[in-house]
Amino acid sequence: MHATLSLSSSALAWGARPVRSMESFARQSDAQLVTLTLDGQRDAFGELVRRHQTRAYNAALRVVANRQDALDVTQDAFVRAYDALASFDRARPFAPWLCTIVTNLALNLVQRKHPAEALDEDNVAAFASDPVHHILETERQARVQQALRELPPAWRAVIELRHFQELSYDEIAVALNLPLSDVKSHLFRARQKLKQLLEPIE
Amino acid sequence: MNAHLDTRTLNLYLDDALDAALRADADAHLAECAACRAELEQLREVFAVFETWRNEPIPRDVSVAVMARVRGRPAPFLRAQWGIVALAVQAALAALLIAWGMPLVLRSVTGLPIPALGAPAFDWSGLQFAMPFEVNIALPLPAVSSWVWALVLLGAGIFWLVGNRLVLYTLQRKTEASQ
Repeated sequence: MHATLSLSSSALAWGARPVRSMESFARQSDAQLVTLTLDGQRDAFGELVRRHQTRAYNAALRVVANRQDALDVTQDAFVRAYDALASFDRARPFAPWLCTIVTNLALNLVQRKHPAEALDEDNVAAFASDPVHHILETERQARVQQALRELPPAWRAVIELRHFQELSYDEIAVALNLPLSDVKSHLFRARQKLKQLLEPIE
Repeated sequence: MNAHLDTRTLNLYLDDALDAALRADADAHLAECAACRAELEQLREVFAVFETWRNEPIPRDVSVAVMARVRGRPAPFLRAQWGIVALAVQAALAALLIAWGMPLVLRSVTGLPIPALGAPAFDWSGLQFAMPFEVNIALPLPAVSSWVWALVLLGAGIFWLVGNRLVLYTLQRKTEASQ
């Protein structure tokens, strides 16, 4: 690690652990931040949260389809991730591991609540305000996003882990505790549904 | 190959999950079948939407709230170490339980008599095993069948393991509730 250390006088005492500043955390890799957190430097975890919160939030949003719920899930997922940090394999990327937790929590939440919730119209409105040169992509994404919300939650979760976190079929089966055949079935049927939806705008 | 590629095959094709032989078959069919190529392209459009997906910004920074919750929790390495210690203690106690109960089971299997009430409960040297030491402990065991004792010990072991897990779960829930 080549991070700059900001050492306070108390931290320089014999046996004291060097305390890193926020700026130095920002230069650390995810694996290094995990190591520092496990080493007792909780603020390193704060950097992980800042770094991955947008991705985690969007992963949650794609499953729960509600902004407030997505925020709640994001917070809960980071706390769960903190608790389980010792089990994280630092040779692998942090974001898919985190988003697996996010997706599971989001799926639990949406299955606990009403499975067919009303659409969050704010989400669609947000896309309408995008720049003109993104309008076609945006329109397509908005349509797919809306279609995603109409899919069963388990299908959404599988789509999230396959397309956005790039997990293999086997990894999804383990992450969601589903049989491999169900993973494929959910995924293929979800794509078929989305394909039908995209056809009219071609 | 004359039959069209089914949806499953097209999905596996795009996920790069077909084995080499099936993929070669699919490639050969796609080269000469416009209908399947069109089907594949439509499916590829779905993939393209995901690949160009634009994340929306998070409405508010959750790091402060998360760190406030995290600061009240045990450090993750402490949790991991506690788990290992608990597991080691459980394993040691389970081994003791088995060592204590095993003579009863063995007596039942070998047909040796159950010790009378007040007599040395476990006369290890009485068994046909080469034991490195003799244990002569007087325990006030009631005169019941050795199978009953074995079942009692088994039940106690299961009860203890399940109970222990429940205690850990309760402690965890209490910690979370206090955040």
